Amino acid sequence: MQVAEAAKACPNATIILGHSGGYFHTKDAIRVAERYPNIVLETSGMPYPRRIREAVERIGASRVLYASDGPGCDPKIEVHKVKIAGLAPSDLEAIFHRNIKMILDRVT
Amino acid sequence: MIVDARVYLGSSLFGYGQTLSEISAEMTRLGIDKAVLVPVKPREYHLAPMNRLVADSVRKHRDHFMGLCRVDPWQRETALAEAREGFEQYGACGLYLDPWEENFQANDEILHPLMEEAEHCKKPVVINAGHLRVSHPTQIRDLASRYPKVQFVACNGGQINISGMLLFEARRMLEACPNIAVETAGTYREDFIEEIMTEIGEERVLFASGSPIYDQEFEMTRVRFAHVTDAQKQKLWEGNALRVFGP
Repeated sequence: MQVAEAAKACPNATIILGHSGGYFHTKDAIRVAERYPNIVLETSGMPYPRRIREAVERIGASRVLYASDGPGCDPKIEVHKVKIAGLAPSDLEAIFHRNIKMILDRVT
Repeated sequence: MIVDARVYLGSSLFGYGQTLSEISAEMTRLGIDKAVLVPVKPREYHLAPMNRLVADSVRKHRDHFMGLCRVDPWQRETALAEAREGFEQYGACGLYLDPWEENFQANDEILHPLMEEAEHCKKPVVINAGHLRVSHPTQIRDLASRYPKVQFVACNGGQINISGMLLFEARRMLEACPNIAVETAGTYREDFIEEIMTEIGEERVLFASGSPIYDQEFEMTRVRFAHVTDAQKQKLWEGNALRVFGP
């Protein structure tokens, strides 16, 4: 919710919310991402595959990014977490690849 | 064999829950042979009926389940009586304490009678660890150091902190107290599991999911992909849990 203040202040900035709220604040993270379309949720570190699915259902796959937080977190495990979240193949493609490419392509 | 050292049974006041059928179905799907059942705190608040439910489930399916007895230390004499009854009459394989849900500090003196009972009955004590205000690794360490003959299991790797800051405190806790083991459930950073196994002791880590709070299938992944030897992995999967809780 602190990140929400930044998103509100800078509506043209894309803000990637690392760990999607982590262990205790994934619900808050999804809520603020619903409210502020410039917030993108990133999947690393947080231990809840079901919240990844919930984020996709509530804000759309286009605003969810895969990340590993490696080398601390094992990328293989972080990939597996997204794969078992029960998402459609097109959503997985967006989360694993398309979304971050779109963000980085906008960088001048 | 795979033993999940912490699986919650019942419908919790805090919104999570699962039935025995759901637990069994998932265990079959995931290839888990045995689980240590933990009573939830129900909407009615009273833990005794949940302890009976766990005991009854274990009695009916001894090959697949063991069960912990859960008490609220604030209930003082009632809690002690419940623990004693759980150990002596209902075959509980250990005591479960939840400082977060029952709102007590893990090293509060209200726990002392329970620790003495656990020591007397030679039962392990499982603590929902890692909650900063009530079950910080230093608090678990403080409690465990006062009762060196009691085997403690600190849930969640002893720490829940995505910054990784508490990992150091959890390691110091393990270094200071040989009578503490940690679970793998929800552990941020898998290299922590590997580090503890290889540098502190391969008997000091148990596989647990904390299901349904954490995702059982995902939690298995942490062990499956851990960079440890096959022999160490077997200790993670079953050996350490069976040593702590009994076969």
